[in-house]
Amino acid sequence: MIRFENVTFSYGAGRPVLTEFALEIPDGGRICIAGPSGAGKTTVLRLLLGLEKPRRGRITGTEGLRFSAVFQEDRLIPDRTAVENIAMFSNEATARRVLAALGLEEAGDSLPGELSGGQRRRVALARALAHPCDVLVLDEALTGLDEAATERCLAVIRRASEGKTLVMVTHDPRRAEALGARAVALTPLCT
Amino acid sequence: MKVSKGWRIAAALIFWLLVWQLGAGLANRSLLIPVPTPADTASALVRLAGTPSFWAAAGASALRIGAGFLAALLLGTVCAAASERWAWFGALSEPLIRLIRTVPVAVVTILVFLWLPRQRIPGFIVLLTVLPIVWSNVAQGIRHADRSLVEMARVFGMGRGEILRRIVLPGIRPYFAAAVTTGLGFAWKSGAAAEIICRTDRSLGNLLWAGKNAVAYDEVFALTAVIVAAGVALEVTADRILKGGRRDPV
Repeated sequence: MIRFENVTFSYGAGRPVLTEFALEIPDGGRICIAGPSGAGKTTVLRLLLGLEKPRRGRITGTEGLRFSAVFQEDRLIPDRTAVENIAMFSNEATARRVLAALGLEEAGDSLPGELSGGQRRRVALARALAHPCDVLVLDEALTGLDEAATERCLAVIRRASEGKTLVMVTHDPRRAEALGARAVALTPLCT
Repeated sequence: MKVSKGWRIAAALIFWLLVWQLGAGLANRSLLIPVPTPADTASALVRLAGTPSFWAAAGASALRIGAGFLAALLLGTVCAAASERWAWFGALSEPLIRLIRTVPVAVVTILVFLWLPRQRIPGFIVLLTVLPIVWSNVAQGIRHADRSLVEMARVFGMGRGEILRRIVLPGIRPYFAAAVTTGLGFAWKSGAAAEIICRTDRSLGNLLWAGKNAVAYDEVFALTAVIVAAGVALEVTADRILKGGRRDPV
């Protein structure tokens, strides 16, 4: 069980993004962090991934867990092909298999700059799905995809995340529903 | 019709050789000491290549300049990493780097002449010339390293060493490559200049000086051609090695 216990967080000396935030994510649980822009959804994910440290409170249950993530940005290495980007954290066979499942078998040997925005997004998703993990974190993972590609990706995510903890952020509640994720609402803090 | 890069370079080379030939022809009508033509230079080059002293000088110059260059690469990289890691180190070293960058090679050569043996001066001058180039390029590379990729790799469980090897260093590589190729050109130029100024024994610079004193300008031109050719060849080779068949990001 991952626990956020009364977590308060702010970037630098700025106003707090989260105050006394509490959350429990059971092993294998699926949750969707929902809320308007600026509510701190991405911050929750960054705290979960260990990229930020709480100013107050603590996060427990993450020790020894293997994470995999799709970030808000694609974060692909520009001079590596799609397959190389994915295989860096898995292996080439898995990389090609996951790319094919996402409908990108032909893009495997292309550099990120040669791909469309939607294709790059799917490569970033493929990297996260190909990497062996206990917790899958998706931050607006399906942004920029058309309806057909979204449906296909959702099916692949559903299969690939079986038995894993899934924590996602999306503006579209249908996507959370499709993955069986429980919504946790965040409201922005005012000064 | 698309002309290949090799042909374009060859055509440009031939054009400038013709300009040289014509210019020398015109100048030699009025000058007391003739300007060597490309043919004179080539024949002097062949003559020099047949003498062991030329090869000994070329080898010794290459060693001296190479040693200075390698020292600059090493020191420049370490200093760049240190100045990016510790702000105080960067602040302290910045005026020094500016000073090194602005003082002319001839001035530094004369200054260090007081304290260093002649044989060591060219290597030291190369070190001083190339150091700021490597330092600033590598520091820029570190500054521009994509921290979001480092974060991503951390999340995916990559260790520090592997992040350095597979994410950070490849990101710095283009900056390092630029430093190497630019630095090589400067290394040869400054090294040869230092050899001429301090008359280093067994050096191309000293042969140049001797050629000038003997009014053997064909040899002076031939030796200059050797220095230019070596600089260009090293630059091209380094560029190819450092690119290592990688595709440029789109």
